[in-house]
Amino acid sequence: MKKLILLNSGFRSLTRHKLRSSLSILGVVFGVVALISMLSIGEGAKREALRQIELLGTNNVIAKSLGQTEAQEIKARENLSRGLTLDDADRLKIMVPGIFLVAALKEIEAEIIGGPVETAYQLAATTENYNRVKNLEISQGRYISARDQKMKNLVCVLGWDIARDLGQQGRLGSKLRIEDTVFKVVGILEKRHWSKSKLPALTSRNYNRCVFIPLNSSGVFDRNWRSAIPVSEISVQFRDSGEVIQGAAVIESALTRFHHQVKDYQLIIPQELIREAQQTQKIFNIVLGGIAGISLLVGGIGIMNIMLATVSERTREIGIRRAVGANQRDIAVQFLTEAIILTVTGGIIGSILGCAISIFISVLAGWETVVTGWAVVAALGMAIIVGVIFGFYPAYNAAKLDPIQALRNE
Amino acid sequence: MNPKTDDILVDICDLSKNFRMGGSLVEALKNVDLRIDQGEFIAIMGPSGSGKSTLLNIIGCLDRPTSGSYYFSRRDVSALSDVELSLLRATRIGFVFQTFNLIHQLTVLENVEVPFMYQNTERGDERRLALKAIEQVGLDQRSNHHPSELSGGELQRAAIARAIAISPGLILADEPTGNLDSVTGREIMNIFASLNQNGSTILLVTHDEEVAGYAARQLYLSDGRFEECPGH
Repeated sequence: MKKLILLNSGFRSLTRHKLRSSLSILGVVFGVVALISMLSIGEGAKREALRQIELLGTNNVIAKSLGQTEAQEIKARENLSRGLTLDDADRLKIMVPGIFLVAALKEIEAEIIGGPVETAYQLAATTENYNRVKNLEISQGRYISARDQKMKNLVCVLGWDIARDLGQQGRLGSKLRIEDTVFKVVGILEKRHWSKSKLPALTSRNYNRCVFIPLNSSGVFDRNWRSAIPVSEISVQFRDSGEVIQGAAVIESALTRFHHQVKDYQLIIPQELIREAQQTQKIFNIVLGGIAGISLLVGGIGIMNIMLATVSERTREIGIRRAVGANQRDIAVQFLTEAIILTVTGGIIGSILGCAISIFISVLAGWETVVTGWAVVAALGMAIIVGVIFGFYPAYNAAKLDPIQALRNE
Repeated sequence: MNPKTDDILVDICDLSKNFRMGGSLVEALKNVDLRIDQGEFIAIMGPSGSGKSTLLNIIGCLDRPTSGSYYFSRRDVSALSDVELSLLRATRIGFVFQTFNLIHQLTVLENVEVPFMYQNTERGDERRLALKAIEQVGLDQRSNHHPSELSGGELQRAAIARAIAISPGLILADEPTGNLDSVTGREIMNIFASLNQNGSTILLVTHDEEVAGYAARQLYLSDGRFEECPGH
C-alpha cells in the first residue's frame, strides 16, 4: 500500500512538469532504442546465418568446384588434375572414415523446351542419394534411384516452384523436353525455405527451382564426355557431427592428392561457419553494447541533472516530510523512485520505439530483425540500473538536508 | 488532576543548544529545564531570537540538544538514531507551523495521510482516521481540494488535521496564527482549546499575548533562558 502511494506520488510529481520530465528521459529513450534495434539486427543476422548454415547441413562438408583463371587451368592440365569428378566422390567414400553418404551434383546449362517463358530454373544432375544428404523432402513420387543412375534413365525430379510454373507439364508422369531429350517426371519435391544470404559462401541452392536428373544421364548434354564425369559439387555427410572437423581435414588432404596439388575446389564446412558466425556476432555485440552504453550514460546524466533540480526545488517539501516523520532513507527512496520511474518510462518508450524501428528496418532494408524478450528485459534492466546509479546522488543530497533548514526554504 | 510520574510527557533538564553561525558561536538555549505533563496546554512566549523555535524543534525531535538531557515519555531522546527519532515524530508528535507547510501537489486528504506513510506499520484505517481528523477541524467539504484552493484559515485547519490524525502524544504549534487575521486566528485557537479539552497536550510558541492567553500556563523565554521558573 505504502509502496503504491510512493509510486503514485512519484508519478504525480513527474507529471506536474510534463515537458521537463519528457525531455529528461529522451537520452534514456534513445539509448534503449539503440540497444533494442541493434540487438534485433544482430539477432536477425545470427538467425539468418544459422538457418543458411543448417540448410547446408551441420553434419556435411561440401567441396565446390572453383572457377579457374587461365594460368591455373594451364597448371591444372600440366598436373593432370581434372577438377572435381565423380571419381573423387567415389574415392572419398572409401578413404575417409566416418562418412555416411556422399553425393555429387553437376550444374547443367540447358533449356526446357515448351515450358513457360521467363521461368527461372536450374538443371542439376545428381547421384541417387543427393536428396538424403540435403534432406530434401519428397512431396509426390520418388527421387532419382540407384537404378536410374545405373541405367542412365531419362527421368527427372522437379522442385516445388518449377513444378507449379510448368503447370500441366509439371505433373507426375508427364514428359518434359530438355533441349533435344525427353525426360519423364517421376517426383516432385516438398517446398523448402530459401532466402538469399548476405554471405555468398553460405547461399544454398534454391531447390524449389531445380530440375534434377540422374548424373549419369547428363551425358546427353555434354559433347566432351570424358571418362571421369566432372561435377560442380560433392557433398559429404558424416555419421556423427563430432567427426566433421577431423573428417574435413582428411577430405582436404585426399582431394589435394587426387588433384596433384591443384587447388581447384573450395571446401565449405558449415560447422566452422557457425563458429565463425558466432565469433562475428560476439564482436558485433560488444560494439553495439558500447554504443548503447554511451547513450545510456548520457541519458543517465540527463536524469541526474533533472533530479538535482527537482530536489532543490522541493526542499520545502522534504522539510515538511521530515517534520511529519520521514527519515533520511524514506526521502532517499522517494527521490530514487522518481528517478527510476523516469528511466523505466524511458525504457518502455524506447523498447516500443526500438521494436517499431526494427520492423521498419526489416521492411525498408530487407534485413531480418528479431526482437527477443531477452533484449527487452535487458533494456528495461539497463534503464533501472541507470535510474539507480544516476538517481542516487540527488536522492542522497535530499536525504542529507537538514530538516530545519529545509523548512525555512522558500 | 494529580500529576504522577507516568504523566510526565516531556522532561528536559539542563539543556543547551549552540549553533555555529558564520564564525561565531550562538548559544540559542542555555541550561533550560522544562517539564510538560500529559494534558497540559503551554504557551512559550518571547521575542524573536529568544530560542523558542529551537526549543520547539528539539522537543519535536527535529533537532538534537548540544548538551543536557531530554526524555520524551520517559525515553532518552538524545540517544536515538535518525530512524528512531523519525518514527517518534511520525507516531507521537504533531507539528503545526506558521506557514502551514502543506505539500502543494497533494490534496487536503492526502496531506493528512502523509504521516501515516512514515509509520512503520500498515494499519489499514489511515483513510478513516484522516477523514475523522478533517471532520474534527470542520474541513470535510474541502478534503479533495488542493492547498492552492484554500483560504489561510482552511490551510491551518488542514495542517491541524494532519497533526492530530495520528493521535499524537504532543501537538507542537509554532506561531500558528502568525499568518492569519485576528478573527481566523481566534477560530484556530478555539480548535486548539477544544483539542486540549479532549485531552491533547499542546505546546504553543507565540509572541501574541492574546494567543498565549488560551494556554493554561505561560512561559517566557528570553535570550535562551526561561524568565520564570517553569516547574510547578
